[in-house]
Amino acid sequence: MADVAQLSTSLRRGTLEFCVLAMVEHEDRYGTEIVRRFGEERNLAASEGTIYPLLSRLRRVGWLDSKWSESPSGPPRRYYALTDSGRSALEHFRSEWVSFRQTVDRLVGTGGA
Amino acid sequence: MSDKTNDAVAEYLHELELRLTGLPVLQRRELLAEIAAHISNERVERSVTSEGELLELLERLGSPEVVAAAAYEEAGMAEPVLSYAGATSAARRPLPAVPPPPDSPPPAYSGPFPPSFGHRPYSGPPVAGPPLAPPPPVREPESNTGLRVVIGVAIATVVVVLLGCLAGSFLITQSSVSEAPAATVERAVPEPPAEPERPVEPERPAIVRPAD
Repeated sequence: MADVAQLSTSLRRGTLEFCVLAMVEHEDRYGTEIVRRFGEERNLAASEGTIYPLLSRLRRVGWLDSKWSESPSGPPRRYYALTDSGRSALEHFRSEWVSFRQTVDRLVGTGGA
Repeated sequence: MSDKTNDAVAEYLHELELRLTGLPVLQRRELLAEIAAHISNERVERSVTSEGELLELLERLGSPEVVAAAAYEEAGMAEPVLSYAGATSAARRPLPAVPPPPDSPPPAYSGPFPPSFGHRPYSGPPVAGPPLAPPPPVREPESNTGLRVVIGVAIATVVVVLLGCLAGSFLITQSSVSEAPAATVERAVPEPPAEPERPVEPERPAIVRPAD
């Protein structure tokens, strides 16, 4: 049990942040929207509240920008946008991920599946 | 009903805030504001009204321990896990920095103090505690034997001192005895070479006399 949970945690670490970057690649999104989107993905399902510290870090390292905006229906929303350095980090991850995935597939035997 | 749900939200945020005291103030405020906005958004956009629905919402968000653990991890900080004796956050295995302290601090920190002493798990006191703690229980049961040992040592020292005195007196007497012959020998030996006699000039005239 613990090992299974640990595995998914380990796999998420280092990849989840690029999923976040990709999510705001084409349009700005507010926090709850991003969190809700992740909630729909079973493989990425972490506690929703843990996404906010991640967003905070991505903003601190300069990959995301944010601005508060009034909401038509509720409280103010904080919208996140991809910065230039965030965009290049995402591109770098994409090329790294493809070769990484191919290597793991080849070694683990999941390539033909 | 709405009072109850508001209480639940306030309690959740309060619990979370207590666990974030180790974070820099701006990061703490930012996260709390985001979580509060998230809850408000969800309540409005998913028309959450009942307490049950709200608790589900908070459950999806994650317990304050889990959210706080993520916050410390993303901030690159060691979570003051021990402050809360939180099994949940410990089970989450947040950071490698945790292993060293867990042996000692948990019993030391249990009260309401931890939140205000966010970073103290690493400070001396908890570490210095264990080494100091064991001795007392060890001394108490061995107090009798300790007394015996002390008495034995005292007797031994008295005996040694007495022996020392005897030996000293022997040495003194022997040295006085040995010094005497040594002195006589020394005096006897050097005299023949006549070294002390050379400085004594009166003898030269004595030698000169026979020459005359």
